[in-house]
Amino acid sequence: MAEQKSASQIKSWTEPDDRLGMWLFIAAESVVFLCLIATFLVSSKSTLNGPDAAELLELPPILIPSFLLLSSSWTFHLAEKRMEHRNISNTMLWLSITLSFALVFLGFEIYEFFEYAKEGYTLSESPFLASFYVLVGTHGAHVLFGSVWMGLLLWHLYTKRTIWTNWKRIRAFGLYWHFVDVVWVFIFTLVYILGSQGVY
Amino acid sequence: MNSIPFFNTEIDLVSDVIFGHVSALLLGAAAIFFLSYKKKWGILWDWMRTTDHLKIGMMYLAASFVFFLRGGLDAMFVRLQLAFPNAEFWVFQGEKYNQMMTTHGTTMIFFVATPLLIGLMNVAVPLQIGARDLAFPFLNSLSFWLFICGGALINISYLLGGSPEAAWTSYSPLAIGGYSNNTGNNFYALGLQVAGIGTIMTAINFIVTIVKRRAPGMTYMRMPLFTWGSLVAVILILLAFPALGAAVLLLMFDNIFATEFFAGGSGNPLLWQHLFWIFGHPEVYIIVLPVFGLFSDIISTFSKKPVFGYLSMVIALALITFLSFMVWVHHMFTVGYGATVNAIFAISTMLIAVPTGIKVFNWLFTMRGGRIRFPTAMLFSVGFIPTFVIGGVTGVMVAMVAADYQYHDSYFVVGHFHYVMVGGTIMGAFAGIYYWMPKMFGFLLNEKLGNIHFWTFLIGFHLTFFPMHFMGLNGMPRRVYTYLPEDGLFGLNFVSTIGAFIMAASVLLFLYNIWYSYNTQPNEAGGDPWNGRTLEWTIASPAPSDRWKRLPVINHREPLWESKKAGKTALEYAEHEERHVEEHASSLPVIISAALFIAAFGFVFEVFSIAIAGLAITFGIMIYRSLTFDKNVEWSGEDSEDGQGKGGSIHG
Repeated sequence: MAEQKSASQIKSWTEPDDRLGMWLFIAAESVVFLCLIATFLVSSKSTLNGPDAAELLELPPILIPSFLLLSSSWTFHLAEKRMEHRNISNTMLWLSITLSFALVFLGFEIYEFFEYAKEGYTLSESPFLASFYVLVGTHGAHVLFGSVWMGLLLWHLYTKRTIWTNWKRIRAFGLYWHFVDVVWVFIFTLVYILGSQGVY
Repeated sequence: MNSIPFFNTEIDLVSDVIFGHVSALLLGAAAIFFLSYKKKWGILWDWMRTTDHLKIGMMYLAASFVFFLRGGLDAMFVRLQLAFPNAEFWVFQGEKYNQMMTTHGTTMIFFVATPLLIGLMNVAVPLQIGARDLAFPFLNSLSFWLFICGGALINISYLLGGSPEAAWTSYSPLAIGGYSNNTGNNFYALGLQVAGIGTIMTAINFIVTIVKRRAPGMTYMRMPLFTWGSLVAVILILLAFPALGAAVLLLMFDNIFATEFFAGGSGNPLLWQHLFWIFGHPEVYIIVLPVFGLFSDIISTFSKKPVFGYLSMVIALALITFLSFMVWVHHMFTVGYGATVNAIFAISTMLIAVPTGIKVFNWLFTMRGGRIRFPTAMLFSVGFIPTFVIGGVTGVMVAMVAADYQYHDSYFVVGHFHYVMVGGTIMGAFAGIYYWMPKMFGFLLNEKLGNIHFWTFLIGFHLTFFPMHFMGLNGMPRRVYTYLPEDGLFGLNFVSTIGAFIMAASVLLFLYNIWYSYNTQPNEAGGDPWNGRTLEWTIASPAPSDRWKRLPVINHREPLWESKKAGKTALEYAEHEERHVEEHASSLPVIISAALFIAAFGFVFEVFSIAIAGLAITFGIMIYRSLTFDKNVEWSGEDSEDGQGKGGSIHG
């Protein structure tokens, strides 16, 4: 049975079907984000009476959450490595760190959105603001979804399900989480860096 | 006008809406009575929970046929309204006419053409490649129920405050900001969103199945062409439907949260057109490529010859797939992007005629010198070829930019795409149903009725749609509910309406054929009623539920035909059943879909408590599914000696 197999074999337990399915899901998600990024670029000059990107966005406040989110890809990788060596408690430790980074990122983002809303910069103010909120918000929703997912993974690890199901869960989630980070690289560059420098 | 308030809208108490409510109630009551009287609730519940690809395929076919009748009814209303100049048929003028033609288009594209083919794929692809089931059976069931929920949303809109009326393309700014019925537009956005998610998951499922779950020896170049057509079509779904998802998400924001993405002044109406057609043009190939493959299989079987130019067929499919993402602006020639842009997209559009032409000639050469039989499936295939060529030629005509300024938004275009879609997809679906009926139910459809069905359909089809080209050339615009006597369009329109009635009668005859054959045909079609060549004809009809206990070993493109030639009675099979996971039937897909239906309902009527509750239930059930996953799977088969059999034992 699965549980008796040696640690060296754990890699071969990777559910290849799940991984391919996840890759395809990411392909579909990429198209969604491409469309939303295109929408942002198209709408970025329609600011009406609202602020434009240079007025709205500042680089310094976004650096910490960006650093944490991108680091979480690395901490997750460590979790995966621990899992490969069947060190479940360390897996859970690194996964918790990943989760906390994601939650801090979400906190920053929610705070940012509230700050803007307080100044009256709401969704319906201008197409630029709407495209900003929808693009960044969709990514935020993915981080939220990933956080709930990580909570679920921790529970699975804690309750010690069969190791092969947990392993394939971790592997599938890994693809998703790295993808969410990669999307942030694009958003950070296109929206925050170029936006705050007045390119749009 | 009498009306009753319903959330943020009102339901008008006029004859057609009351008729709709009464007929919905009567049909619902009749269904409940039938299920109770015949004690079929248990069977219904079993089918709702099933994860079996064959059963899901049959449900796809049945459900999309129901939507086909609905979309057909809309078409009949449209044709009746257009039969005479200045006609006033019932209520179908102005807005109501727009609602009919919008619902007709939306239903036929999203809830008939696409799921009919997904149904055929579900039935045939795993049998053709020797897979036990799709890679993710649970997901397959979920996809199906999301499709049902999306279809239900579009279909109840007429009863609850009005259908979408901005045409199936839902161009902005018409579709936003109160220029058309807002409830209807919300139904459009949410219905397509829910169904689209299901369709994307189907695509993932089929790609993984075809890539990972082929029987030993079933190389890519040994796959039947229907499987090839399905593979490229689902790749298109995977990359095209997310664009629609993003587009309807933004449309929803515009209509519900007062953003202005697509608004005329501040936003960008062309953005919608781009997003929509980046999805919309590949969609045309999504619903025709599996049919291309299907016709290749059928023509080869009934010509008693292998497909002519198999490799070129595969290459042509791949080329069409590749090109289909580079042509979307040909829907937007009249926008005025200038000569360079238009020329590039015109050339890429015309290029598609090359691989399509290769396919047409290959079909003809497959028949050449063959021993041809003409059962109904073959009749539809042969009838398809000239029909589709007409549609293809008019396609090249509208691809010429200068000429397109004349054709654009005229009935010429309506004629063109009905030739491609009805002549391709619908005739293909009929052919597929006649062909694979024994694999689903174990009996063949009556051939005599099938012949009448084919000829009435073909004649009705050409009578309906051929005159439309001339209407368009004579200046009749699309989506306008009437014309004047002096326009000189009466004769053509009247012929078209007669043709529509013949087609309607033909479809009813097809339904009668199913009922008649069910009662009279012997249930002993046998595994191989057509003297078939490919893998699906090696197993019994109807396909047993434990098909492929041991996987077949494939060593030829036409395994069944090869073994017949060699005088063998059976294929080779793997030595033992290797380990694989089997998942139990589950009611969760139905519940998740129902929850998403509730969420979508909340968004449509802008009652966000309902919407959030629906989403919460959806994610709650997903968590529940994750927590109970281990209990819901079962091991089947045995370990191979090294513990590392192909595909199976790596599960654990």
